[in-house]
Amino acid sequence: MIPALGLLVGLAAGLFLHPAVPLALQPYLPIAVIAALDAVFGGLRAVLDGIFNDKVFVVSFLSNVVVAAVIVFLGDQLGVGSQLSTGVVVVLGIRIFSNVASIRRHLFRA
Amino acid sequence: MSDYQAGPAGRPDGSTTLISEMMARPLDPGYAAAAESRQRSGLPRATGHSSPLLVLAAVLIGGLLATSALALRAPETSANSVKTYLVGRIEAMRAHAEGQTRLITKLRSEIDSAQAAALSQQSETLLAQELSRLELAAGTVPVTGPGLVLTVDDAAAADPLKNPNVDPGAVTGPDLTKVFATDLQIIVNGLWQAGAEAISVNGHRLTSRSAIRFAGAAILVNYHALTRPYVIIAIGDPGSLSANFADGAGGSHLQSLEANYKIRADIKERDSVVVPGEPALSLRMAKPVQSAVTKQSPKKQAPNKTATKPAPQTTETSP
Repeated sequence: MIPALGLLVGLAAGLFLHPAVPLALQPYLPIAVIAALDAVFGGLRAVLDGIFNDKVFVVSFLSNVVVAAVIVFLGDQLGVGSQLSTGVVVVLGIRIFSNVASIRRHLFRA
Repeated sequence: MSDYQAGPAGRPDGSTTLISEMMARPLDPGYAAAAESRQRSGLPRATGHSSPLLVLAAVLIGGLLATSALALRAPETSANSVKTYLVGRIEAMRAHAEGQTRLITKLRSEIDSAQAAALSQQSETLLAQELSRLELAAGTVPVTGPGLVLTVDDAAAADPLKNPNVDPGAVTGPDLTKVFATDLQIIVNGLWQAGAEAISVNGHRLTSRSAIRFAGAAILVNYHALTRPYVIIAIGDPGSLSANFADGAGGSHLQSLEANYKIRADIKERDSVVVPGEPALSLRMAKPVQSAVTKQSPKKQAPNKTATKPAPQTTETSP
């Protein structure tokens, strides 16, 4: 419950404070969002599986975001940024969908 | 991936291990490993949900979501609103122009019938003949007759060969596989040279005031932008027109375009083609030095007609 409140606080802070994102960081935002969503859904599934671990969650979130940003940065330097971004989105998207499917089975038994 | 277990050698799905791994176990294996080590040391498998680290991460995630939603959405919508505004203006102006063109056509037909009535009342057949002859020569009425239909189009295979990653703005020279206004000018001049009596390009009649010119990437004829393919209709002697055109400068230019730049061209002879009239012909400043019409029909009610200001096409006679 408290992490959910934290999430809401973060959302409200982002919406109301409206922090300016440097232009150089903007290409990494979509990938960072996907990586964060992957970590969140992974964490939710772990909660429902009964094996949640806060340290693993935080580390997986941070490493997901950092690795995704590094991949996009590397792709930009090599001139294949859009292709690598697509690859990251595909892999993380599949993970998100499988995790959501598992959460759905937990919650609705279907 | 601490608990990654390599399958026995020679698994049937060995080539797809990456995919099956991703599909079958999307959950980070770290969770299971951490749960097992906690169970071994006597703690409950799952930790609590209220550690400060976790709350901090949740706040971070929320901020990230909101920030990226705002940062990535705002510029797009502002650009979109400008775009929709411009598109709306273009459409409104285009509809306005179409309405004005319809009005011109309507007024022109009224003028024509009024002229015909006036001329027939006075039974001045000589004048009527003169008028229709001038109209024909000026290109304000559609004409029909035997002629040529010449279709010119850009080269076909240019686009698939191009690298899609190349920025279109980075192209240094003009794309030579496209038809330029100059090409159309040379072709049309060749047709005039070959004895064409009336020419239209994509339905726009070439008159004494027509121009074929380039504006950006589009070819303009009579200030209308054309879209490819370019269909040139010319009326002239069916026997000599195409032969003269092929022999002249226009034909050889067209041949070199086809041979060098793969520009597609197609010439067909027709027994009967129709070249439309050009409604937007008007002379505002030019006045006739001497005209049969001015000398013979001074208008009585000229002063009180100034208020209505009809289409300026009829004002060849009035100052």
